[in-house]
Amino acid sequence: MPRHVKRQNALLYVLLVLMSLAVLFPLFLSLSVALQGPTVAPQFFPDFANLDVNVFRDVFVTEPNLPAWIVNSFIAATVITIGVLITSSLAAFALAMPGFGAKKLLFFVCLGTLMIPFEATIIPNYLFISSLGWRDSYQGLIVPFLASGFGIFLLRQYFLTIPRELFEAASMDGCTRIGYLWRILLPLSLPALATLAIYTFLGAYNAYYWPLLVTDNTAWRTTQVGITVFRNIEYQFFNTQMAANLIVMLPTLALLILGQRQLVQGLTAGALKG
Amino acid sequence: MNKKSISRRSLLKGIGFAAGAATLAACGGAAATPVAPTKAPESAAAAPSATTGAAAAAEPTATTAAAAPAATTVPPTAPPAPTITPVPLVEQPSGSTKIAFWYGLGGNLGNVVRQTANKFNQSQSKYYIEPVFQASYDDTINKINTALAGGELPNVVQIFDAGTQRMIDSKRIRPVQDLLAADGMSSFMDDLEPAVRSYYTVGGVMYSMPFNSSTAMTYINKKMFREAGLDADKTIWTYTELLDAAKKLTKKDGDAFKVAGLAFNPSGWFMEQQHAVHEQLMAEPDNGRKERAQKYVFNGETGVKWLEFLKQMIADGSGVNYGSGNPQAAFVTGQAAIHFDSIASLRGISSSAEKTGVEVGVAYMPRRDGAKVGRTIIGGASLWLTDAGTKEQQDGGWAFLKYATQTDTQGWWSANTGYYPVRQSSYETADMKQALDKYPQFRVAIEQIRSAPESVFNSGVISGTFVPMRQEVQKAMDAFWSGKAASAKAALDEAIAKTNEQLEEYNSTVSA
Repeated sequence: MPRHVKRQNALLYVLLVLMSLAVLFPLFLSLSVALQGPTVAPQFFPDFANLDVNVFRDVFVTEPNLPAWIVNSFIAATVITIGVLITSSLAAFALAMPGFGAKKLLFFVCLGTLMIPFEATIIPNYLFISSLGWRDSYQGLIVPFLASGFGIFLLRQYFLTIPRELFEAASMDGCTRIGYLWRILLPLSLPALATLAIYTFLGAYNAYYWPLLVTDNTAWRTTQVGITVFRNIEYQFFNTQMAANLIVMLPTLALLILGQRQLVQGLTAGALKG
Repeated sequence: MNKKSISRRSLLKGIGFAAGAATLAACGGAAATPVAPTKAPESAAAAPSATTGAAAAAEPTATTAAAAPAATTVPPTAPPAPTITPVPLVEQPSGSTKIAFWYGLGGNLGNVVRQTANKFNQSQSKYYIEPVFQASYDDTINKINTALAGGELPNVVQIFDAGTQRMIDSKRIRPVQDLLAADGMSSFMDDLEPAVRSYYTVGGVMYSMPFNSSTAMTYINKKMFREAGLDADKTIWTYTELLDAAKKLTKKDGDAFKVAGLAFNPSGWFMEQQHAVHEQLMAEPDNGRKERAQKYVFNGETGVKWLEFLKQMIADGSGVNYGSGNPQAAFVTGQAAIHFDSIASLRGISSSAEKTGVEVGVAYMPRRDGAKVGRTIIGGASLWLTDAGTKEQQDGGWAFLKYATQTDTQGWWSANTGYYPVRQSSYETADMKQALDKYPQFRVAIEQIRSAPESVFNSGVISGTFVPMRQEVQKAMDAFWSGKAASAKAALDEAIAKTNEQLEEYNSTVSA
């Protein structure tokens, strides 16, 4: 290997190490604070001779529902993401295709929903879900988020960049519209779909106020709402809170690490072909 | 410093919730820690004094607090750590009536709430209280507001002080005072701590059951006080005296603080306390105590002087505004000699201070020079019984409220949390006597809320827009201390305009 390449590589690694330290810093700090026991003045490094590892057990003893919250969060966020991908791509396909009379108007209606703040619709949504008896249920957590004006907008704009000739050629070969969407348009739109999926999943996973409102039973909570139980009032002990944060973060982190290759491949594959 | 605090504040606001916010706050504490200057292993923090045992009961005198000897303190064998035992809930026995109980007090203190429910559930088998945590005090009242629009109210709910008027206005409350009268328990009202009773009595009716009550205190680093030649046992400080003390306590290394005289943050609660101490109204008429509050008036001399007092601290270079940062950590690590905090923080502060060797003392909230002695307001939360559910559920809810405020329950509750017992008779319990031995500072807190008779001033302001009002007061403090507002008066005038608009709007919706 030539020397200048070696030097470049070394530089690259130094940079990567620094970056990963920056990324890992919050995780390290959480772990450090979690292990220091109850104190309002945690040190940067814990006292290694005196680590309070029981904190992780205590978190589960206090809230045996913790694993259930993680499951709830994952199920809700995953179903919402799949739902949004389906509804958005179907709607965006319709809006991006010719021969649909009032489609411009409909598109603006979809855009219009983006202008209405979530806070304005939360009470009517709550009353509706409540009247259906959907509090404390997956339906209640999921259904109000199955369609997304932003998703429709994003995918429609992307679909419009794909040459019409593809559709004409496919039709000529006897491909139906749904067939075209499924076999040609969506595979070509992978980058946009991935963006939408990540955006939706994160939004749903981090949702706070809605899950708080529609769950009255501790077992139906999602993680974001559930772990507030570890936040101290009157004095700022952070140990149990940090331990709980780490616990609920691990599954997400594990999935990300396992799925990273596919995610990146999916993104770049689409980008190169598109 | 100001600029820094504010940018941290807006950053925190943006992040909003648990992981991020907690990480940052912890970061502030942790990053600051290595500078901790004074380690004093020989003076164990806040050890009980020998003189405190006898006079434990209901009427502690000024002398017991002042008598705490400095030199004779011994390190306690078991650290007086706050309850940190995790508390799983007991199972519901079959055939019992389930009663929904929402609460907003989280963390370690929330564990004691759960324990209270467990104790009640184990004391009888007819009813089962199911505590459901609702994320925070703020979120609890938000959930109640939403449920009022068309959901299901819980049978019992814990609501913070600031939500009192809103709960009364819901018209879905069963006033506790009526139920007490129906049960022939009028002596119960007499046994309540007067400051607590007067806080939760609005228009002559006590609507909710007092549960966890605290007040604001001045926390001082006793060792630093002695080293600076200041009286570490003095409980009443005037603004001038405290400015002077802060100057003496401040230690600097060039421009950087080694020890700040006073660490504080913009808190609407302390502003309310100042109005109570100086017997001034926050809102007219009568702080909303006799009839509905119509307008806020906190832009008078009391508010202005408080803001100017703290601004003077900054100007003197002896006070640091921590913004939304953490003055507790600074105090506990010896980076600040004085800070204002709730008495309910005493446990957490003491147990942390024990590790750093800081000796914790408390004093009353300061007052203007020559001001006559008024007292602070209690804060905290109370338990509300709603009209939701079956008669059986309501009876069960009422039984729980009575259980939670029994003399022995409140003694145990106070000993395990650091809140005041709401019953005066609770000071006679063994739990409470032991707690007072462990935390002699708590006596000063008791004296403080008994230092003046009840009045509309020290009952505290009450209004339907209490929460946004606090936020506006806080903004006014930020604006003045950071130099964005020309004067304290101008900053408070602006807050008055905004809060009165909110109040008018709220009042128009409830009277209609």
